[in-house]
Amino acid sequence: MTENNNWTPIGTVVGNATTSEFSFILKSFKSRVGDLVAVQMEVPDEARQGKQSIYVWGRVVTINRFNPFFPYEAAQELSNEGLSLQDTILSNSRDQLEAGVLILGCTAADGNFKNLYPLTYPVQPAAEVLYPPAKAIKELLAGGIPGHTPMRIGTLIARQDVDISISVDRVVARHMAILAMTGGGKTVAARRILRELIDLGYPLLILDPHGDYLGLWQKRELFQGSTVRLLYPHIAMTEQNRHIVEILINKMTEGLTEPQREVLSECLSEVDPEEGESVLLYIKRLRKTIACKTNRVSDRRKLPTLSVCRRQLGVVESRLERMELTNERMRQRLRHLEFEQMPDPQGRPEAIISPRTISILYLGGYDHLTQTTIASILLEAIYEHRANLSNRIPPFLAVIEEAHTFIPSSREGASDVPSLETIRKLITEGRKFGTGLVLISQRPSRVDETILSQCNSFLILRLVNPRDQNFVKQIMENLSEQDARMLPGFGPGQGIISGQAVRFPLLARIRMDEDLIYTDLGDENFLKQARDWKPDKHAPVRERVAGKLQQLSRLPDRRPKGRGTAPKHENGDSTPPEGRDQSEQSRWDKVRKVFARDTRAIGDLEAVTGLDWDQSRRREKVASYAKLPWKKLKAQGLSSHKRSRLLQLLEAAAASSDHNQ
Amino acid sequence: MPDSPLNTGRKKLTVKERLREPHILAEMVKLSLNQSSASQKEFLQVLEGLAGAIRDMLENAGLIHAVEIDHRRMWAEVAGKPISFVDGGMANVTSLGTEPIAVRVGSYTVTPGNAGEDRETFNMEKQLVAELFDTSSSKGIFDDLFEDPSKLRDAARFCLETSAAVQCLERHPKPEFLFLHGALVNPVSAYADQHFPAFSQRGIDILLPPQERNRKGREATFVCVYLYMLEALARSGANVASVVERASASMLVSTTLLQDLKKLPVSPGATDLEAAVRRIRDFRIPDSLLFHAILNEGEYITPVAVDRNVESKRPQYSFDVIGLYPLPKVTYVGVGHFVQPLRVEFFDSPPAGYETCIRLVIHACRLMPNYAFPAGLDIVDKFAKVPNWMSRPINSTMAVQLLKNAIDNGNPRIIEAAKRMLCGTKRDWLFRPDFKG
Repeated sequence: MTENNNWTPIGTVVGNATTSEFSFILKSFKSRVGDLVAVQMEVPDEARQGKQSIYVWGRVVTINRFNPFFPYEAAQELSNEGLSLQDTILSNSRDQLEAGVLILGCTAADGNFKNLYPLTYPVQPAAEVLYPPAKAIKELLAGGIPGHTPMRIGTLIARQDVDISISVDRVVARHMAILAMTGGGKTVAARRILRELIDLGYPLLILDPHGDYLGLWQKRELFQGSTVRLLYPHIAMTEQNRHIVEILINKMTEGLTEPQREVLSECLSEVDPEEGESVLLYIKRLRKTIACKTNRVSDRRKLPTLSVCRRQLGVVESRLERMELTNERMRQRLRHLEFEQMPDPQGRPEAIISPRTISILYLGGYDHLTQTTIASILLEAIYEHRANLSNRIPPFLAVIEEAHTFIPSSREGASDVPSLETIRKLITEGRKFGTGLVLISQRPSRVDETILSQCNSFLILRLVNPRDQNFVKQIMENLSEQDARMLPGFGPGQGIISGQAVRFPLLARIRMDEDLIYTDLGDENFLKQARDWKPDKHAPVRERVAGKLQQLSRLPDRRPKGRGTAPKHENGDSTPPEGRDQSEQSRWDKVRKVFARDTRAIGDLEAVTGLDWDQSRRREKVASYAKLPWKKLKAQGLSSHKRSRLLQLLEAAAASSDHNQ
Repeated sequence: MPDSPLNTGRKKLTVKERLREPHILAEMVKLSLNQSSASQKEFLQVLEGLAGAIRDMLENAGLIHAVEIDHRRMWAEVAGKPISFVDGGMANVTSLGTEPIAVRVGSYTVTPGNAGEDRETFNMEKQLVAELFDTSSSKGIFDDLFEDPSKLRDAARFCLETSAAVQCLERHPKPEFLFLHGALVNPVSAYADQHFPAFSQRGIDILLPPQERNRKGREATFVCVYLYMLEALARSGANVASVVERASASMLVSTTLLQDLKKLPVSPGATDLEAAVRRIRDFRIPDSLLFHAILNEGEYITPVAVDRNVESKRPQYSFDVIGLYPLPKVTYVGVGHFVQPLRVEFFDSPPAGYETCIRLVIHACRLMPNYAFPAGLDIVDKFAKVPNWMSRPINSTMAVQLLKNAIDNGNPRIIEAAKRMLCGTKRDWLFRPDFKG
């Protein structure tokens, strides 16, 4: 066989060829799935009067291998008898290989491969299929998108001598998704892309729920001229951002009604935040203020509203307190890392987003709602700065790990996740304002389909879950059946890259940046921890105290004279159940008189007292219960516990009204 | 490899039981259909009687042998020994005014137990695309016409296949076993009279080695050329055998066997055996059916020397040459419960012995137990077979060429004649009446 400009012939086109695909008989061991091959042929020229020579480029998507001399029956016999084919007279040397090729397009045959056109004339049967040298393929791939900056991500899966670069411009402007199961190589791929962007000095913001990127700070000396900042969430109050309180209530609770918002606004205006004061402390002060107002308020109709506001603030306060505690614990565990408090994204966005800066927001240890709330607040704030064209911050790329947490699918039943709307806004509008996203997830089917489909480039690594595979097939327009069948078979770091960042879909092997691997922040060794586990320093004290108390509990109770011995009952109460019931009954009889004609709703009493009785009965009238004797309450279906709680509620409300009077 | 020999689990059947198996019944019904109703009624009875009697004699004379199916032992025994399989394929090419022949013969040589690239080789030993005869030039295979071109074609094919086998035995390393497909020694009388054309020089050059190409007169005829090649095979020192799976109407082996049995102590007497022979002929019981009734799977009879070129049929022109032809030793081998036995032919006792060769055949068949044909021959048959896509366009092109020539001629009668020659029936669309009548 003669060679074609040192392009090795590797087979012959066979069967029916179309403008989108063809098959060829492949010489043994001359090609693999994923290879780019070419066929030289002639097509009608533009004027339809002559011919022009072109190269048709294609990617090998399947290779079928069969041996016409090895019958099925013989295979059965070998298997049944435990025979090795080589020990018999059967033949195993005449494998036939038939490769299927997906046509990518055609270029002129004059050596200029930069311009790729769609093929409009079928490939010629019996034509020679050629194996282009690496140089030609590089030229073909590099032709890509003129004027765009390339970013090297790896090599062709079948050709380690051919580098693959993707368009940085398309990634930062038009969003990208990296999808792979655990161990598929997502983090390696993300680090590769991030490294290239860091070298270009592009501002990066990474939302890191599990600390996968903290090692970038450890390896910061590799990024000359760039700054890596590890941030922990902190929402600071300023004069300008008092509305954060309302945002937090909206995001962390059921929200407020219009009148309640008005009352809250009034309270917010009365309490001035101290500069730099954390939102938690501010909320604590705000709650105290509202409590005082509740005691002083002249218009009693405002009481329930104030109580609701106070209660909702209480929910936010407890969540924030937990967050800060977790925050502190995580920092103590990672003492060797330097964390900084996250600057106010509203007031000082340039402290987060700036050229040659990589800001990694560590969200580890926070609950789901807090993570998404923080993300929402942060992204909204900095997006607004870009959308307002304030020019305070440059364009940036936000990398969102565990994207299924932040933008869950509607099937997850989590449509009220705070970050969902924020990220939706960023991904639909962000193209105009330079707020690019890279979404990373190991469970694509749990990610919001609409948002994910807005990504213009995809890097799909290994996916085994059939639901994830089907989901990916739906959202990616140009994922062929053959490529989809390869998804479960990819090794770590292998995948398919497609979309606007590349000229055409390519099977890629992502280059691993081994110098960015950081082992001390890897998976914890729980086996070792369990083996080496020792009780904490307070354990002996706890044991001693428990022992002493157990000794005491064996002694009989002793009461002062005049009071009978009160044996302990199962419920831990000194009053026997029937006795307790008697006292509750008498207390009920006493307190219900106060509310027998009270037209307020149960919810109002809850608001006033700050006690929760039963959310489902909040709208019911107090009087409907107060008019019933104790025993009738039982008949109403109220359990013993519920009755006790109702009694407590009415007693508290009565005490509160006595106090107010 | 399995540690113990295969136990097929099938018990050996008696003749009576075997003849009641559905697949044999079906064969019998097919064969007896063109006999009288009285004969049909007796067919089973006669067959059962004959098969039972013959088996009895063979068993008692030690002329029926059983092979133990033991793949491990068999393949270990032939490990490292090259085994060749030779078969040919003929293109189905028809033409008017010419007699083309398109044949190719391939070989597949495999060394069991070898793992390297030299484990197996495929070779197209002989390829022939030519005219059987060509009076205008010397390109034909034969130097003259003959009234029955099919006989010329057969003769050419016999020689080509045998020649390919000889060539295969000359390769290095030399095969220790060589298996052909088809009769080892074909009947030659029909191709041996003085009117049968000799091979042309081109034919001789294709068939014979250089040192044998200087042949003239009778030496260049089929009967002498074929003899030369058969003798070359017989003296090669290799274990040469041929295998035939197709049933034919021949009764030669059974009748010869019965003749041979006359000489043995188990014989009831010449008269009875002659009567048995007559029964076989009267009921037209072919060898394949009779031995299917006699043999169990894995059994074979001691090979019997048969003469396909009886003196009475030899033409005078080549009487002496035909007399030199080797008598093949033929046996039938039961290779599967549901399939007819194979016919295996040898030149005398091969160096490794009949038993080893037959065991090899049986184990090669066991690799495809349902098909029950030696795997190596199956492989070479697929290799050498001329595919339809080769033959069909040749015929189409020839037909088009003929019609074009007729149309160019312009004579409507010639065109009509060409159409009729090409089409097999007047009902073809070409002959639909048109408005011109």
